[in-house]
Amino acid sequence: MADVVIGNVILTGALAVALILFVAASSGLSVLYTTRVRSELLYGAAEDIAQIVQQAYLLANNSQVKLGSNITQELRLPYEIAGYGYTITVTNSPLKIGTISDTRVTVLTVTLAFAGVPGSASSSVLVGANINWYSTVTVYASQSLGLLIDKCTGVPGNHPICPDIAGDIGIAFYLNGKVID
Amino acid sequence: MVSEMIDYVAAAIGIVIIFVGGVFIFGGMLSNGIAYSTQKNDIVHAQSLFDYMLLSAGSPSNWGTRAGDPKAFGLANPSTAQPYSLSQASVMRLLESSATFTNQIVSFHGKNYLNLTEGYFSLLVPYGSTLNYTYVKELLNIQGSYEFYLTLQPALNILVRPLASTEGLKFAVFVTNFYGSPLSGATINATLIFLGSGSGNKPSLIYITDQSSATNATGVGLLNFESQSGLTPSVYALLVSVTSAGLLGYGYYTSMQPSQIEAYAVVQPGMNNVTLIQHCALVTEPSCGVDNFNATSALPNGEGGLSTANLSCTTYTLNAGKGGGNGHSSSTCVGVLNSGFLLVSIKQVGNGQKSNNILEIFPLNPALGNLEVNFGLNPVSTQSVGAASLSRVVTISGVSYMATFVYWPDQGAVYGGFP
Repeated sequence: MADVVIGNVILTGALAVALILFVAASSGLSVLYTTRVRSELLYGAAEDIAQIVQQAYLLANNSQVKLGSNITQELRLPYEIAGYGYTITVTNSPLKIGTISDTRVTVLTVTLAFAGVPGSASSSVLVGANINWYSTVTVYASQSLGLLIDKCTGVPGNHPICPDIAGDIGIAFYLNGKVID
Repeated sequence: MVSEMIDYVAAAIGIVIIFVGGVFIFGGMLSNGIAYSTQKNDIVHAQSLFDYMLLSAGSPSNWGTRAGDPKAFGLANPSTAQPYSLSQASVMRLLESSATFTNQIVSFHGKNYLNLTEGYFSLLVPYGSTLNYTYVKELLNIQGSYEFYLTLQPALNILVRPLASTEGLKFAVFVTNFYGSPLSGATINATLIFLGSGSGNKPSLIYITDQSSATNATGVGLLNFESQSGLTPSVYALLVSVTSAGLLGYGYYTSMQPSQIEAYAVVQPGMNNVTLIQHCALVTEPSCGVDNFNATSALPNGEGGLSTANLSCTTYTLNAGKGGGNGHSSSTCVGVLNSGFLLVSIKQVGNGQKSNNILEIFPLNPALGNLEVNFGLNPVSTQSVGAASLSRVVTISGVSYMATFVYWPDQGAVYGGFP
């Protein structure tokens, strides 16, 4: 009788240990997995946006596109990623080769960050030095967010997102018919 | 009692093993999901890099024709608005940097050249303008442990072979696509280049005649020049352009053997002139004499054929003398050449070589010569990681090429990428 009790105690203890191990491991894995998946989803969205901006630039930079042409491009972004809203920030900087800045190449970095929970991801694409990224503020992702792309004429004040250099490509976020600066 | 205890302990261990195993399997499944997502993101990034390379010209935009390194890397042709049209000069710089050619350095008149000679073509380009892969990676902002491999290969495979000698001047043209499948209904425009009968020590004149055909269901087209004008030249070359579904490619056949090469063409990427030197400046076979030659340019006329014009050269006699005062050690011919071919008729005299009549063709552009570019790190290692592999059809001087870009994290061997 005592043997059976001892056996049951051992088995119950082992079960409890296994259960705790399983729950702890599952919980740890779930947290890791959720964080990684969110991060990858965010990174994927950042890659998509960066590539759209790069494609828009490469398209507008083609000599077939006349000076003064402007194009609007809907981004068609999901308004949530993994159930969370997110923000978009775009920055540009010259390419760094070692400690030297290569001003012929612009690195456009798109950073997405969750609104309300920790998590952010960045993706960088290369564009020419003649890009003028106009929207310096952080914007909230929405389904109607788009891009305005201007092939600048060089005439001052002609296009709001353009510098006064003919052939430069001005790009800005565009929401409900207005440029976000 | 002991056996019962053993049973209990065994059961408990079994349960723990099952739980722990379950956790590992679960973890593995989750890792696969994350790996899939990571690879998908790598593919998007590879697309971004690939398009940047193919759609931007780099800086300066004519970096392919200059000796220094570019400040921005791009292969697009700056003089055309056609997307995915690559600069032949920039491609030539990559070609010089391809692993196939980097060890083939020859010296002539105190300068080093890369020998791009393949089969019937004998081309040299100035050495010293190779691109460093690590530097290009920096220009492309490829950070961390990622690597890439870029290849440019003709989109159409065209093989030209003569029928049996008893058949006369008849040729079969075999056309397959990039993946080796026969292409039916492809349009073949062929130009037969042949030598007339020379007199004395003068080189023979160059003549051309055109013919068209189409491939049958098995991707084979036939050309019969004998039926056209009763031609039976003994020295000739056949230059074939094939168009299929908007793609253009070139194929060749010549009666000359590679061992009979008498002249080398020195090509400066992007320049519209070419310098000829005698083969004896580099090799001793075949025997050396004096080469009397005349040169003709052959440029695609946009209608599938070629337009020819006699070229003006600094001298029409070549020898291999290495003396400083030798005015015949090289000859520079001027014309719009880098988008076409140079045809050279050579009559070698002296040193018992008087009977030689040679016709050489020089495609003065890597695309026209069907040359393949391989640039970057060839993905080979010992463990397995996924590679993003992308392809685009591009044109180089109008010739269709398949550009393939492989991009991968360099953490082991690559699968799913390049064969």
